[in-house]
Amino acid sequence: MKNAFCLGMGVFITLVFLLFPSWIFEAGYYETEFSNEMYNENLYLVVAVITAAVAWGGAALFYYVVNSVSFSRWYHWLLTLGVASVLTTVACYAYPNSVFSELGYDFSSQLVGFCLIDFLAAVALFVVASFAMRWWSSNCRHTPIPE
Amino acid sequence: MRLFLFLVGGTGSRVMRPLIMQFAAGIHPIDEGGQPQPLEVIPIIVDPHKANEDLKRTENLLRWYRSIRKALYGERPDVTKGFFSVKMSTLSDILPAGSPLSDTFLFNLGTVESKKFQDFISYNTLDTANQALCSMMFSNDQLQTKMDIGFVGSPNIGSVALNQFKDSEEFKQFSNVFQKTDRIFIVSSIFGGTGAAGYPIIVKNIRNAASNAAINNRGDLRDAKIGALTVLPYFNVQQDENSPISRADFISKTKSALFYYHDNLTGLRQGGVDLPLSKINACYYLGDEVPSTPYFNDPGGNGQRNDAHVVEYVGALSVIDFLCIPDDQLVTRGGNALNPIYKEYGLANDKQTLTLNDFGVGTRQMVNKSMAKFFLAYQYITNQFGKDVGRGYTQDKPEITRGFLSTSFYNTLTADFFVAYRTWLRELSGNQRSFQPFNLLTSQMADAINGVAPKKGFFSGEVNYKTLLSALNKGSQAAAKAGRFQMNETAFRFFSLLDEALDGLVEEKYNGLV
Repeated sequence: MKNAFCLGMGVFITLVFLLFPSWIFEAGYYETEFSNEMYNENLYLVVAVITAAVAWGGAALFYYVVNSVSFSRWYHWLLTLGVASVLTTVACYAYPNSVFSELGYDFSSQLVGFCLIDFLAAVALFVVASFAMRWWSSNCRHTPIPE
Repeated sequence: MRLFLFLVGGTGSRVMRPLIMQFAAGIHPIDEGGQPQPLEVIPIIVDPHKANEDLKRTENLLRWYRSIRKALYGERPDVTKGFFSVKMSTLSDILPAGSPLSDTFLFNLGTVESKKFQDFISYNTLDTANQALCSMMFSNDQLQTKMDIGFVGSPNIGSVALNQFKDSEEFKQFSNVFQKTDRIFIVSSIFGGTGAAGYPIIVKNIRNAASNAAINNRGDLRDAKIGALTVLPYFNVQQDENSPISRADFISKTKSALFYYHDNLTGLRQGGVDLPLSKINACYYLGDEVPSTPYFNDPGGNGQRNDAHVVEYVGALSVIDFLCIPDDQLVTRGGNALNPIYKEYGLANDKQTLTLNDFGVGTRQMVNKSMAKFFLAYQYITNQFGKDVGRGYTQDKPEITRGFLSTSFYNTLTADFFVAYRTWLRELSGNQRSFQPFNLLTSQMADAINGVAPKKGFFSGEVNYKTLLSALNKGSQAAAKAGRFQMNETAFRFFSLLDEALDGLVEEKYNGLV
């Protein structure tokens, strides 16, 4: 029951993130010209999808694909979180940057600030995904903290 | 099923050691349908030599076993699976509250233990003719023997002194609790004093229970299902001119006793005719012509501590074999066993160094898997468990915390029982024949079992503690989901999971064991 509730909460939080990405990102980082272009090019949604996909994918990889007693300590989980968040941040810098370049804009300095916020969002979503899905993992269900 | 197990003399205590290890490994008698049966064993050590080191070691093991078993399963008698699942009780445990017996596995032989033999028979008060008769039957040394060191290889003393068995409080209480469905097994050697004399006396008093007005359940006792292991010479002692014990006498003593048994016990002879009857339902004979490493020749004064031997290990299997015999093959009428069973034992490979694979198929099927599981459990708990506390399955409820490592259960298991287990294995390995089922020099699971290489998985590689931890995690997850364990069952949970995980692992990886 508790496990299903956690999964439900995780899915709900992720859906909120995917449904209202501009509100969430703009609450963290707002610069009029940059934010308008992000909104107009629908990049907030793309970035949110990438962030959520990598967070849930990374967590699933840790809990169900690797699912190893050799890789089940809290620092292994932290390493996975770090790698997933950095990957997300790199992707969320590279993709909008390429779109803006095609349009002839240079928002590279704004993108760095935005990516800091996206990094935090990636960390938060990885934690949410972990606590939503870890209960059914045979070897890692107590990582990063006991059930 | 309940078994009263009489362990007579030094060999009785020595055979009990491997039997305790086999029960600790979770070995149970199997019924005709192949299902393990619940078992309660009441070991009764009959030996006046209380300072015997072998006896003390066995008694300690029994106490530790009982305490571990109680922590795991409480007083439940119906457990059929798992380490330490066979219940072990003292006679006093199974008596109603307020029993007059002390809580011990030792049979109290009363005055026998504190007297010289000549005082026991009141030699000095006999008239001259009877003194002369006694002097013909007993040597001066035997008359002077102080019986607190046993009967020092003299069954003629034992057969007199142990006759007070039937009048003892223990025997009366035993008769009070004995039921028709219970079984009796007697372990003794034939080439010494206490065992050779004690075995026929115990059988005689049980079979003649009908004429003993002082006891209860006389009919049930008279027709009880009785099995017995008679251990023939198998060990060697150092030659010592001052000792009454000599290996040269072993064979002649054995032959004399066998003749006596043949006419009075294991075969019955009346009017010069052999009858197809026996006082014993199942007789097991066991010995080895290969002499052991010579033991220190100690008639008893310094404690008598002999190294464990493979013959004792095989002897312990006879107890389990006896319990597997169906009731309809152990019929007794009027105190005589009908169609008695006689068994000997042969190795599959006659080698000087034995492993688990050198026993016959029957033995391998009965014990190898359980013995291997228990050794792997010993290895895991000794080398890895402490590092695993705080991760994986230990964090499921009821949680195994570091505090578990200082419980009296864990201390008894690791500081007492496991130390004795390793000592036993080391002694078996160092004796002749050498029995080396496990590799005591490794801490790795992959090369723990001598003569059996575990299968390697294509992806998983060789078996190791991580393989076991993973299996424990899976088992614990399923158990938590099913809500199998109560909050106060930490030790039971740990041992159940370990048993089940090793079950799967041994089945999958060590299939060369059987």
